[in-house]
Amino acid sequence: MKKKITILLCILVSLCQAQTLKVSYLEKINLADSPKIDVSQIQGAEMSPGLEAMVQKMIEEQNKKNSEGKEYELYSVNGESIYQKTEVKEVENEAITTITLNEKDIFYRNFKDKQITNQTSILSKTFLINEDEKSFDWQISDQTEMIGTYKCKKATSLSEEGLVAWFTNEVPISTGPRQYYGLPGLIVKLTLGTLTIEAIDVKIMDEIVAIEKPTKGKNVSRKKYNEIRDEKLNLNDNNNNNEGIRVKMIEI
Amino acid sequence: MKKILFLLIFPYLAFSQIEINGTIKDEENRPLAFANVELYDENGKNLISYTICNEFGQYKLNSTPGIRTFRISFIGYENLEEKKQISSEQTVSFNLKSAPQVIENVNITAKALDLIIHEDTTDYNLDNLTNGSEENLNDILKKLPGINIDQNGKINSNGKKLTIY
Repeated sequence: MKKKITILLCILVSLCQAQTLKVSYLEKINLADSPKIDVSQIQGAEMSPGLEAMVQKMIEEQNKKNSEGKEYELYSVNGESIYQKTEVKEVENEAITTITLNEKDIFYRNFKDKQITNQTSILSKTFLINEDEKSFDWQISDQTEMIGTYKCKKATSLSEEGLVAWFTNEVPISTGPRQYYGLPGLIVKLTLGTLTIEAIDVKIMDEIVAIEKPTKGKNVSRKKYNEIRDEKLNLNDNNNNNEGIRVKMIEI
Repeated sequence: MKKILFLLIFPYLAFSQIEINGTIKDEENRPLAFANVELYDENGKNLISYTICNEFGQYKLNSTPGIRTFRISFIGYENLEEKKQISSEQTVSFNLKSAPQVIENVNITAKALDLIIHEDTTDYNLDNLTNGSEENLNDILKKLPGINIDQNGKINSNGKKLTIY
């Protein structure tokens, strides 16, 4: 009898976490490096000084928003994690629709399948990109730094130029913002070029949050998506809206 | 003769990578999926290698021979640090004790958003946007992003007229 019980215990599947990690991140783009757009150079309908000023103001506001930061949330439990923007509704201007890029980026990761699913949209078209996890070849420094109340170490990626992350093993889940992970602890801060992502709140919830893998959007490879994105960011001659303003935005 | 042979073999061993594997489980011997495994040197300061367990709580690591400090961690469990002598390929498994239920909530940088935009109203966080030198409503309104006061004193927001209640 004892033997049977012992065998049964060994067969039991891996223990599931009963707690969910929730991290709030702030994504900022360095204002000094934001695309400088000269409104008078914009192609399209002639603009009155009043309209020009309004468009210039909107662009400045967008840049300001980028530097102030956008809030994102990361949930991680039971070998899955999801990273998405905290819901904030935008007010549409009557005369011109504000063009926002990549506002609905969702990153889902499955630790077991070693897969990342990224649902992203550009100019109201949604795409779904499924990719294998990749190694960032992290080189970890021995020095520790304090970020908030966490003792963190700096890690530099050898495979992705300019990618630097600070992580803490005090939160022992190998995850982080967007598609970045693979360190022995939570990524608390990350910089890549002009982009900085920093955790502003870390919470361990005493419940299991149901994580849904994103499914909306046209299924494309990362390579195909990059091609489509480059195409859409350039001057689009197919723009049917005569009142609209065509702007060439430079990807940061 | 025997001594010389031993001396010849020893230097070779010192540089080779040794594979360590094992399983991380809880006190009831149930495997802990995706637990964190870190390997430090003898004094526990320098990180030599690390890995994450798979969904069965199994891990695999490489190490050079010597005394190594294992640091195992998992959410909801007490961290475990243990020194082991590594000299040849071996299996090293650990059992973690569950930690007392603590619901952590750490604010690293409590930064309230300056404004939250709803359908047709916008809430402004005045604490962040004003500095106390404003004399009246006009002064405050001028500082709020998206609000303009034209020459006639009419207030508009992003091109739309505003009515103050």
